[in-house]
Amino acid sequence: MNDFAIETKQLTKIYGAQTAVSTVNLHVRKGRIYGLLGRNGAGKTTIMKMILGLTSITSGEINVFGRNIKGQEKQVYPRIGAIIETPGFYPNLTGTENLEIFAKLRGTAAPNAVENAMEVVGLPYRDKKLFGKYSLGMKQRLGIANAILHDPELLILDEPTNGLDPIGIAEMREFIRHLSVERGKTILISSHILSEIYLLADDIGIIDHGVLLEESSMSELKKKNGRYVQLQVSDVSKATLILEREFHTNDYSVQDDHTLRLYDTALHMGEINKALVMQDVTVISSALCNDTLEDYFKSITGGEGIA
Amino acid sequence: MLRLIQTEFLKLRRRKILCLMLLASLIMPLFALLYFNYMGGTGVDPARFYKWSAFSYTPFIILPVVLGVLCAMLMFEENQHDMLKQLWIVPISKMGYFFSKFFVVLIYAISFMLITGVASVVLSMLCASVAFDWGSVLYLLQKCLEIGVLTAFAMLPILAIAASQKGYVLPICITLVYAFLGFSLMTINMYLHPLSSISVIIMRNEDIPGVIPTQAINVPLAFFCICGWGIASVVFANISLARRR
Amino acid sequence: MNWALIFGFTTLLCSCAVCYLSAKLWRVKEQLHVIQNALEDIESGNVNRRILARENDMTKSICYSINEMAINGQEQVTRLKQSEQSYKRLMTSLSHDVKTPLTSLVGYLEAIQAKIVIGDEKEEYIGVALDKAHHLKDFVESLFEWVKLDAKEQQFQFEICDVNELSRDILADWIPMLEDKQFTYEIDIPNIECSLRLDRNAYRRILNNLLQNALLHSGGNKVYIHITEDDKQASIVIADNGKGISDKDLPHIFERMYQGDLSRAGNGNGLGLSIAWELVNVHGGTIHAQSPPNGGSQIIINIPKAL
Repeated sequence: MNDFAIETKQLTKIYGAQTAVSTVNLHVRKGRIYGLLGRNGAGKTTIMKMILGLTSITSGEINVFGRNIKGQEKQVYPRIGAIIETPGFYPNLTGTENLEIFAKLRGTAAPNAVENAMEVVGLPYRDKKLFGKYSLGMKQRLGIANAILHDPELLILDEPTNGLDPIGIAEMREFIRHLSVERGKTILISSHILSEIYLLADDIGIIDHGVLLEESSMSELKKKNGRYVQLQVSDVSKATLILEREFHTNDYSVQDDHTLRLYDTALHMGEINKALVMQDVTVISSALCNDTLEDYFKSITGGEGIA
Repeated sequence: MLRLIQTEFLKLRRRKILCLMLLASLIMPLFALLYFNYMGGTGVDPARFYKWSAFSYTPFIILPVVLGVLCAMLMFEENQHDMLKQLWIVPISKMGYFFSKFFVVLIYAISFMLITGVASVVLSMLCASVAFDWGSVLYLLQKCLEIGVLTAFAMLPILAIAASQKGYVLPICITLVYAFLGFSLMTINMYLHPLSSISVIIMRNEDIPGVIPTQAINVPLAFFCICGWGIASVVFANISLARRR
Repeated sequence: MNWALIFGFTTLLCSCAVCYLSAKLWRVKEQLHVIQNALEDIESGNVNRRILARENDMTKSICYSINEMAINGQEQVTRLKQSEQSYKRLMTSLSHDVKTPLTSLVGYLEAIQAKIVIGDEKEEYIGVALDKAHHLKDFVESLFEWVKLDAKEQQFQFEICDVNELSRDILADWIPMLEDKQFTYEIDIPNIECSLRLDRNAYRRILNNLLQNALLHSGGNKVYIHITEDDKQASIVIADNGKGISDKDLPHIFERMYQGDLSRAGNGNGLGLSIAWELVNVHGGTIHAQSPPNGGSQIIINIPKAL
């Protein structure tokens, strides 16, 4: 079986003379949260719209659940829930009535699906309040409720935290993680905020000017991230003793029998080397690792960073 | 299809303006009441009253304009609130969407004409100068139904234009032009315009007093005209909805 | 004429009925096809698959039952995955967080054994080594506690009790310790009963962990404990006047093993807050941290009232 929930091959979108998305090969693995990171206008929304058939594809193909979506819309879309841009609803209806319309159109996976969806996002069921009177946060919640109404396998969320306050953002993050961990959903989420993706995603794709610059798993990236000196020595226990007694620091960690990481980069490395050698500890190598994720993103987006 | 139509009606909840527009159906019956009260006399043929109240400006101007505004509103609503993309990913078919809107227009047109019919009957009873007989009431209701159904079909081009536009201004302007064009083309060629073709079908038995057709009555040709315009607009709507994505 | 009318009318009715029934039949056939596809998918292991049914579908109850089964299967998969993950985390934790203190402990002991240090210095070394051993023991204990919580294996005994009284009891034990460390304290617990559904031991553990954190890692000299209640929940606030938490760390402090850069130097093990977080979650409550602008840090626990 194919392990990808979404796979795009050489996906390209051209608006007139402008290339919005250029030969993108996206791989969203099943059961994981894929964060699509890029500035506004980088092409995130366009990719999502193409996946959902809301805009035409110039060239390339999209496979969802291992099948080319072309001509399969009726089989594939009921398995996807999505929020694209800000979700709109009928202002003359209440939240419940709005969801009931979609429940009727799409069908539901369980009895009282509407009630459950409203409860999950924390909106009152059968409230008299019209959608037109909803606050932005409530609107966003109703959008989420609509996206999960039919208990889909795949969620496509375009900037779901747009317009939410910090507490709302934290709640949303918790909720998305819950959907992924407890309910096993695959989630494709886009954002222009690095920290948001960093906190949430399992895999990350970085897109800039319509080009997918990098695609990798978060744990892989986190390994690269940090500010420390990596020391390879012949005897780690002796080395730790020297660090503690002579340099009065215990801000280090032991990686294996010959490697330790010193996080206190303010210490003078020359003196440490000298002290270690003086006490018969051979220093095989010492390397300064000074990468933060932000620096990393700057380096791959060509110095501009991500807002 | 049934569920699409059902949800179309659910969407219209709490839209007061729709009820207000239905009130426009009372304009001509009231006008007829005033006219015949002013004229005085007794024993006027009810058909003449009905001609004024139901068969004059109502089918030619008022109903098409009201339906045109309705078409524009139905299509504009979802555009304005950015709903369409949510509907497309359900997914629902473009044509299913178009025809469910059309069905709303059809029901609305029928109810509009029924209200006109009922109001005409009630007001003709109030008007002392008009005689009352059951035969003409049945005749009136039958004609009203015919007008309602046929006008809804004749409005397909407007619905298609509304579906292709983001705004509502252009569809409403076109509605006005469309309605007056139908009226003025009557005298030139009745089989060019769907609205004038409707009048051909309505007066096929030449039983509306005081109306003399300028051309020979040809019912199949009139139907052909309405169908032709209808099919052309469905095709147009299909293309423009597909391209709107 | 009349007969023709009646005949025409009946034909119309009949053909309507035929159309309706064949549409219904078509829909059932279509649904069966969908069900078959979904069943094949579920059989091949995709327990996230759902079948959508509309309100008046004949197959509705079958679809809902299949969904129910898939959801049960999915819950089992989730549980398995979770325990697998706890195990993995335990392994990483053992290999990283135990190794560092253990290596340094070995360093000290080797120095003593090799007689590099003598006299007072030797005694000091033994003291440090003992401290480290104790710390390691505490750490391993909390690690196991946390793993149990994380794997949801720990049993709780919930009972309705007065949170104000319980908190006073716990704080009474802490006062000597606070005075010993030259901390001043401000305790504001109302003298009324506030019933919550609590596990006494778990609640004690939460407060102990938070107070210990304030005592050892805040760097301040004053703690505040306030309890307030409204009609929905009780809020327990534990604050200090120490160095506070940086904005960068705020979202992470309850994540297991996350330690702000500065506390890595101390002997905090980062588990205290994670355990508190898990325990508050068990009570259906929330816990979050704030760094008020006038310095110090604030941990706020909200526990919903017993119904």
